[in-house]
Order: sequence, then structure tokens, then C-alpha cells
Amino acid sequence: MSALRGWLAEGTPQRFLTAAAVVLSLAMIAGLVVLVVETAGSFFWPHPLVALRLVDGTRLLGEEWGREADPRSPGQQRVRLKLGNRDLTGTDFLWVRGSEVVQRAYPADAWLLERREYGNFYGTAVALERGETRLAPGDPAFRRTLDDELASVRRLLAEQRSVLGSADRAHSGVARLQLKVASAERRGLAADELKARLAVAQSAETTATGPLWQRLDTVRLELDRATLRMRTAAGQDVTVPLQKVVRAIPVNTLGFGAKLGLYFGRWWEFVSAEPRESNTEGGIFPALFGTAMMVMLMTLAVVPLGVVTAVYLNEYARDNFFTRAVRLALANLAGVPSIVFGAFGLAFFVYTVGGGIDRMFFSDTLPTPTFGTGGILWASLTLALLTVPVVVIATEEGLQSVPQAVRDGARALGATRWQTLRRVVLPYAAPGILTGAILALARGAGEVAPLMVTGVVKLAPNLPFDRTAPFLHLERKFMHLGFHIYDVGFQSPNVEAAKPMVYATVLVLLLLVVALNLAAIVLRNRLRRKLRSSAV
Amino acid sequence: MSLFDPRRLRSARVADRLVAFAITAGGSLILLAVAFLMLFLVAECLPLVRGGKLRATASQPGPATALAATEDEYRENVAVVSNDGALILVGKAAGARLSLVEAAPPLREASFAPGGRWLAVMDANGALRLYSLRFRVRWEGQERVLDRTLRLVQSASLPAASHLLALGGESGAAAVLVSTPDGLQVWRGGEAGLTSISLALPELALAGAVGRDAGHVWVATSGELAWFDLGAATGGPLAPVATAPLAEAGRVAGLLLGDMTFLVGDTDGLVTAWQVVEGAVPGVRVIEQAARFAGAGAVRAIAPSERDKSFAILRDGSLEICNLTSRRVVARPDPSPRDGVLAGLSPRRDGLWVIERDGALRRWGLAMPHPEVSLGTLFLPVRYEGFTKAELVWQSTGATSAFESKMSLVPLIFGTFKGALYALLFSAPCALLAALYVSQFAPARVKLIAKPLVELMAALPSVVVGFLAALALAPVLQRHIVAVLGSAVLLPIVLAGVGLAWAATPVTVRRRLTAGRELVVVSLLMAAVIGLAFAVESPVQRLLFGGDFASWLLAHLGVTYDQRNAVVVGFALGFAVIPIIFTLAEDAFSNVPPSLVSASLALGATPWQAARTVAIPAASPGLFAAVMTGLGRAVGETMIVLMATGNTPILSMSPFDGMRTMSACIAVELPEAPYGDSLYRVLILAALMLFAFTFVINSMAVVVAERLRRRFGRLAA
Repeated sequence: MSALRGWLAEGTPQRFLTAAAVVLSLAMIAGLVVLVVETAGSFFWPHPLVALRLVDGTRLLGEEWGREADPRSPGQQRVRLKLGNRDLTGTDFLWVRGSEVVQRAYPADAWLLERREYGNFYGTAVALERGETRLAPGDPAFRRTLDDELASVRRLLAEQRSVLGSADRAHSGVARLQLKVASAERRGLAADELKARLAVAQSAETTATGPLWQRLDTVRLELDRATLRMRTAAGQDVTVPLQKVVRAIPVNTLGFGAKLGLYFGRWWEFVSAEPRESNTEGGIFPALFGTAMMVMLMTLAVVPLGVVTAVYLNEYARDNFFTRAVRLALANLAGVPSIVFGAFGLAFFVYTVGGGIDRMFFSDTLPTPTFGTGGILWASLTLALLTVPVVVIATEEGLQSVPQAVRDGARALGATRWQTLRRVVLPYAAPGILTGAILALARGAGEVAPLMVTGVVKLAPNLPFDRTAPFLHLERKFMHLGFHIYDVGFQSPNVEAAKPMVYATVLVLLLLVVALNLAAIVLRNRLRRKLRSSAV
Repeated sequence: MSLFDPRRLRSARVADRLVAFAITAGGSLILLAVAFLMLFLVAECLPLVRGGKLRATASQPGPATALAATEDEYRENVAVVSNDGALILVGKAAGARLSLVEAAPPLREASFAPGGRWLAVMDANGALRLYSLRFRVRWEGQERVLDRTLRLVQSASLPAASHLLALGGESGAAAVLVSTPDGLQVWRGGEAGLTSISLALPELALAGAVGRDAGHVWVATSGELAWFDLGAATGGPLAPVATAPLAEAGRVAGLLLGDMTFLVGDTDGLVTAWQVVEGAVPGVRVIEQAARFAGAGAVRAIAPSERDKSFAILRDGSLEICNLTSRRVVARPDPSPRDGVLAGLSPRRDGLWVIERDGALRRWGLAMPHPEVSLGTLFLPVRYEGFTKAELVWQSTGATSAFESKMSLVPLIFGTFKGALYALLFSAPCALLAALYVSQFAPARVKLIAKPLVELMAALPSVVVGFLAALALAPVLQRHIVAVLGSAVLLPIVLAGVGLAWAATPVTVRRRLTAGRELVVVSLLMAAVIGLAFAVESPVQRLLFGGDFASWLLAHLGVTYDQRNAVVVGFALGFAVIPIIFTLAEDAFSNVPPSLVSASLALGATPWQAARTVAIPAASPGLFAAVMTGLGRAVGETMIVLMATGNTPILSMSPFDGMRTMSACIAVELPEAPYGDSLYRVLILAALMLFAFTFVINSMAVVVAERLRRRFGRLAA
């Protein structure tokens, strides 16, 4: 018994348990990171196309997306096949039991078409048709012509987009007038003068857009010309218009270099392109842009407020009840759940302030709200409130690293407090302020809940910054990486197919947040070294 | 200009003072912001518990012999049926008359259907006439004009001593409840004609109500209530589906919107609410009393709202607006009308009118934004329509306008704390032990790696954690719940056992276990235990749980297994909380002056004894504050619970059930809630409660930290 007491006093079991807690915590982070990097990292790598012939004679062609033990026949494996061709079969995935497969091959003539609608197409190429010309895949010119055609499709689509954009801009004045007329009529006001202006604007629009529509017609005609004839594994012949094709790849013939190129090409598309197929394909550019713009607006608001508060607490405040109350308020601001800020942002910024702005300046379009609905400005102000403590704490640390002797020296030379602050203390504390700003950026980039109530949307038709005057549209709703993850992962119609895309989005968000945090940690460590050396 | 130029010095001084003022103001801004945030949220919630406001307008004269009345949607006129056979408008178009075709004065009784689309009148000879009343809006320039058409639809001749009791019906069909010397009858139909159904009721009917769908009828006699389902009529006399005894004779009746609740008032001023519910025997429906509204003076009229579950009760000498859901009197005009005979609520529930005995019409404008909410409905069980007992339910939106929204915050509060509790069960021990190890036992190298890693863990966006918990962890847990729970039990036992065994080895062997190697040994042990748990999972599952844990749970304990449950949330939320508790706890340990621990070691204590007797007691307030802060974070976390729970607002403590938290509910429902609506304000109230709760916790943590700093400040000096 006493031996047991001795062993317990020695404390090895207890130490083992405490060590296990550390290992568990670290293993959880590591597991999370590995899972995300592995899933997202492998998603864009070209999977070979496998052709299967089953016992009942069915022929399948698709990508292998994992295998597991067959739950119905122990000892057997089953394979998850991505079949694509959603427009023909209606399903993306199929479980194939190992015992059913008679023959498997990796045919060299299998093609993967990444399409702008209905996801991927898998099949063999029959011919490339353009007007009267018809090229078979065996033709030496086939690949080059296909690439040329795809490039010209991209060019034409870009032109179509720009023409439509110009038409939109030409229409924006008319749209605004229409809104005003409707609002005036609804509220029973005289709208004759508005209607006259509307008629003038409409005729101006017609003359401006006439050539645009003509151009659009020719572009559309041009786009319709080239088609690709394909044959599915089941032997069905399908005509795919080339304008629906993003990429056409004979996957099984690719060398390592080509695969690598494709891999990075897909990543680039992911971060630079618009989403397709209700966000489950294509890219996340609008979400990236929205996130970046929102956190930048937030930083503009939060840094001055946070720095002033920190300067007050560290340089001006005496240790009295009021100062303690400010500190308490700050601690609470840091601890209040983010959704509470969201609720406050909606009630105060959106409905009270935004509604007030609408009544004062945009009353001619009411009841259609302009600022009285969620938007990027309100979202970033809400997050600014949320991140004030982050900036204050980091800035205070920066201010504390300024040796008292430096301040005293400046004051002894006759500088006022403000001069000391501006010329000596703030430059010295700049890394601390920068750290705070970066940490606030990281926090803002990852926060989702308050945005859900203050203006984030799953698909924004326009970026909050574009070529229509006044260029910066603070009232617009926006997309956000974090919300994109929630929305695509939980609200999209085809969650299973979209999952790898969400992992890729998670990876991008993680990289962003981790990079920002690492930058802050490095900066702060440098600051702390300075603090230690100045204390000596 | 010289450096010491007085003007320059003065401007520097002025700038200095201005900046000092500005910075002080800026610093106070934070305090103001927090105070404003709280007050603003309070101000947004206050209207919830406030009563309705009534604003009286001038009284207008009307026909002295009013039999029935109804108001139009725009509150322009009240149309009054006078006994001389005309419909007289009182209000904007005062004096306008629409004659009731074929009705022979003097009329004896008249009744409008709810919504005022149908009118039934009975004259002294017992002739029953059914009219349809329509309003059409027309614009003359900027002016709105209401056109009314009154059309005779059907007639029926009844014995002269018959009484018209009630009328109900919507666009297509109407049903009239009449009591004749031959018994109780319902005349039902529309443009195509009326058919009669006789109701089997021995006693004399005194009051009644007909459903808006013209499909069922309530009747009150001197001692009984009866409910008839007209859909079951076969030709013979129709027997009541259910009856219930009534203490006092029912004199006045009304049917609330949704046709589920029947209100009956007696001469003592009591109004009781009755509903047909499924009884104790399955398939048998019974009538139960759901609520009572007492008052003084005989009840003269009951006027249900066509917008919600509110209704006006007109008694001798008083008038009040009540709500069934909240069981409260929401508004009461002051002064009360003395001797009203008819009363009604405007179709948009924005007005109230009473016709007094001398024919005078009194009207009020009514602003009553949240009649169905009270502190009782928010926090106590409520018996909603169709429920057999009072329950705590969150169900904020329904398919029809007659839906009674059920907004009890209790399931949300319960869900919030359930999630937080499971998160703390996992994260608090894990984080506190880890902090103890890192601060007291670990080599400096481990600390250098662990601290920034944990900081990164804190920086992980919660949407990422929630996504992985729901789509990666939850399916794995569902398949391997036995292995995971098994490892959770086995790990501490095995680690403690091996630790004890190790302590029993000779000192020379023990010395070899340096701090760095200790971590490796522990990691290997953990991997081995977890690996073992997964390897033996399926045989164990077959042996103990018949092959499938979830179906075993259901069969033996009656517990269902949700894929997104409290265990998943515990892990995921715990993951988010661990770094917070760890960082604060580690700070608390580090703030214990090293001299104290060193002294203890110098006196011969082992590192564990030094930790247990010196470091832990000294840091304990800080550890407490750390756990409390973790609780605050777990309570307010939104995205993780939103994604990793099923968001079902149920009151179940089972770890295998989901939950709905206040934060997730706000995030999901607030964007959809119309501004100023009850749901909007209740959600803001939920936000305010979260704020208040975390405010208390954070303030406590700040106070504790302050006290610790002062205590050890002295010690260190």
C-alpha cells in the first residue's frame, strides 16, 4: 500500500496523463491539417479514366473515387466510380462491387471533358465538327485544332461577357429611373416628369446598345459553330457544343509533366474563376475577392479605433475606476459571441442606420432598400467592432515595448506629449500596430456567423467593386470564403460531388488565416525580443 | 522662425491639448460602444412585453337598432345591419345605405361570417336569407374608392320561432346555425342552393360558432358544449363527435382564427377557450378546456381577430383585447365603453370598434405588435392549440397564416448549455492537463513547439472545424462510436496502469525516461490503445451489441442515434475551446512565481508533489477563470453547432441526440425574420441573453485575473 502511495507521489501516472492531453491536442490539429491538405491537394490531380465491363455486360467509364470493404459481402471490396455525364444518367456516382467486374482497362482514347454545365463528361471522341469540316481523333491535326477552337471559345465568351457588361452599364440609368417611377407610383406621387426622363434614357439606351446587340448576335453565331461528337461507354453518341467545354483532356495518355501542368492549371482556375453549377464547380474568385475587400474595409475602420484606445489606455489614462471600466468593456468585447455582434449589426447598422440613410437619401426608390439591407459596409463595420480588442491588445504590447527612457528623453527635450507620441512612441510601436492589424485581418477572414445576418450571400451577381460608377458599391451584398464553405458543404443540391471543392476552399481559407497568423507571430516575437532588450 | 517662437510653442500646446482630448474621447468610445450595444439590444426587445396601444377617435352616431356589423379592410366604414332591413355605413361614407333585398322588416337577427364576406339575416316570420358582401378597391386619381356589392344568394323559410345562432364560411360556401322549434339545424351551401343538416342535441342551444371552412360547428347550451363534424353528415340527425360539461350557460361564442379554439362567454363575465384534441383512447376525440379569461360583467360579444389568436371581449362596462397564446390582456381602452352591444376587431387587426346601445359607433386605432409573446410564453410551458398539455416548444414558422408560432426560448437555452457542457467535458480536462504538463513537466523545447501550435489552433476559423466535424468526423463516429467511446475509457486506465508499473521499476531504468522520451512513450501507448480499440471493435460490437450499436441502443434503451449529435459537437466545440482554456491556464501556471515551486522541490518534493501542492492551488483561481472563459466561448460559438448538430430544438439530454442552440438559431432565422416582427425581437432577446451571460463570465474572469496579479505581484516583489 505504501509502495503504491510512493509511486503516486512520484507522479509518473499523472505525468503520463498530462502528456497524453498534450499529445491528443497536437494530434487533433495535425489530423485536421493532414485531412484537409490530403483531400484538397489530391482533388485537382488528374485521375485516370478506368473502363469497366461488368458481369451483366454493362460498360462503365469513369474516375475511381475511393474503395472500401463491401458491407454486404465481407472480404470483398467495392469501388466508388464517378461516372459524370450527369445530363444523361442523372447520377454522378456509382458503387461497383469487385466481384461484378469482368474486365478493367485504362483506354488511351478515353476523353475527359470539363463542361460549363452538368459537370464532367467521360467518353471517347468521335469527331470534331466545325461547319463542313470534320476531323477524326486519329487525324494529326485533331489535337491542335481542338486546342485552337477551345481558345477561340474562351476568347468569344470573354467578348460576350464584356458586351453584356457594356449593355448592363448602359441599362443601369434606366433601371434606376424605373425603380423611382415604380416607387413614386406606389406612394401615389406624380411621376410624369420621371416618366419623361425615363423615356429619354430608354431611347438613349436603345441607340447605345444597338451595335452591342448586333455584335452579340455574331459572337453567339460564332460560338455555336464548333461541336464535338462523343461516344459514351454505353455506346450512345452525344454532340457536345464546344462552347460548353472548358477543357478536353485525353487523361490516360498524359505524361507527368502534362499532369502537373493540368494540376496547377486547375488550381489557378479554382482561385481565379467564377463558380459554376450552383457553386459546386469552377472557382471561388468572387468569394476570395469579397473576403479580401470586406477585411480591408474592416481594417480601415478598426485600426484607428483600436490604436486610439490602446494609446489612451497606455499613455493617457490614470489607474482609476473609469480606466478599469474601459478595460472591462474591452475584455467583454473580446468575449462576447460573434453572433451577438451580428444581431447588433443587423438591428443597428442595417435597420436603424441603413434604414435612416434610405429614408433620407434614397427615398425615391423605397420600399426597395439600398442601404437598409445587408451589405459589405455593414458587415465590415460589424466585424470591426468584433476585432477592436485584437488591435488594442497588440498595440498595447507594442506601446509597452517602448522604453520609458525614450519617452522621458523626448519630454526632457521639451516635446509635448503629442509630439512625443507622434515622433517617438508610435514609430517605435509600429510593429505592434501592424501585428494587431494582421491578427484582425485573420480573425475577420475566418469569421462567418455575424456575416450571415449582415449581408453575405451564396451567389452575388456583381462584385462590390466594378467599372460602373461609383466603382465602389458599399451597399452590395458579397460572397465570403467561410460562408462559401458552409453554403456549398451544407446547402448545395449535390453535397457529395461538391465535397472535394469545399475541402479545396477550406485549404485556401486555412492558408490565408495561417499565413496571416504566422506573420503576426513572427512580428510579435521580434517585438518581444525588443521588449526584453529594452527592459535591461 | 525660431524654435522657441512663442506662437509655435502655443500652437504645439494647443495641439497637445486637443489630441489629449481626442484620445480620451476615443478611449471612452469603447465603453460607450459596449454600453450602447447592450442598451440598444434591450430597447429592441422591450416592445415584446409591452401591451397594445389604443387611440380613440371621435364617436359617430349610427342606427339605434344594430343587429350585426363588420368593418372593411381599410377601416373606412363599419357596415351595420339595422332592423329596418338595410345595411348602413357609418364612418367615411356616413349615411350610405345598401338595402337588403327581399328582407321584410322588422329583422330579428343578423350575423356576419368571420371576415365579413357573408351575411345572414332572419326576419320576424322566420325567413332566413343569405347575402354575399364584396368590397372592390378602385382608384380615382390619387383617391381610393371602395365599391360594395351586396347580393342575395339564397333564402330558406323556417318556423317563425327560429333563431339565428351563427354564420361561418369563406369564399365558396357558407353554413348557418339556426335553432328551430324542431331542433338544431345547419343550413349549408352557396350559389347552388342550401341543404339542411339537423343536429342531434337534446338541450336548447344558446350560442354557437361555425368554422370558416363551413365544415364543423360548435354549440353551447345551458350546461354543455358539443362539437359536430359536418363532413360526417349522412342524412339523419348528426350526433356530436364530442361533448363536454359547461359550468355556466354559454351566452356568447366565437371561433378563433384557425378554427381550432372555441370561445364561450357567460353572464358572470367568464370566457373559456375550448379545443378538440385526441383523447386518452387513441382515435377518440374529446373537448378540453384550454384557457379561461375572467372578468366582471356579463359577456356581450366576443370578436376574434382574422390575423392571429387575439380576440376582443366586450362585457357590461368593460372591453379588453386578449390573446390565447400568451393568455394575457394585451390592451384595454380607457375609458371603457359603458353599454356596448356589438364589438369587432378590424380585418388587419389595426383597429377596434364598439356599437353602443344607442347606436353610437366608437372606434380606436390599435397598435399591438406582439400580443402572442409574454415572459410566460418565452420561458414557461405553454399549451398551444391542439396540444393536450403545456409544453416547451420552438417552432417559429408555419405554412399558413393561421399557424400559431411557438417561441419558447427554453429548448434553445437547453441546447446551448447541453452543447457547452459536452464540449467542456472533453476540453476542460484535456486543456488543463496539457497546460499543467507544458508549464510544469515538459522540457522547454516542447513548450516552444506546443504554444504556437495551440495559438494556431485558436486561429482556425470555426466554419472549418464545423465543416470537418459534420462531414468527416460525424460519419466516422457513427460507424466507430464503440471504438471511440472505448478508447476514451481505456486510454486513462492504460496510461495510469503503465505509469504505475513504470514507477515500480528500479531507479536505474526509471532514469532513462527523460521528459522527451516520455512524450514518445505516451504517444506510442496512445496509438496502440486506439489501434487496439478499432481492431477489436467489430467482434466486441457483435458480442455485446448484437452487431450494431445504434440498433442496440434503440432496442434496449429506447435511445435514437442521430448522426449529428452531442458527442460530435463535444469533440468539435471542444477542439475550438481547448486553445482558449489551455492558453489561459498556461498563463495562470506561468504566473505562479517560480521561487515557490523551487522551494518546494528543494524541500524534497517530487515534481508532481510540487505541482499538486503548490502550483495547482496557487493557480486555481486562474484555472477556474480559464474554464469559465472556455464556457463563454462554447456557449456563443455559432458555426460549429450550426453545422455539427441537426439543429432540432428538442429537450433531450442523450449524447446521441442533436440540439439547437441560441446562436445557431439566430444565425439561421434572423436573416429571414421581418424587421419588427415577434420572431425578430425574440431572436434579438436570445442575442441579449447570450451577451448578458458572457458578460457575467468575462467580468468574473477579469476580476479573478486582477486579484491573482495583485496577490503574486506582492510575492514576486
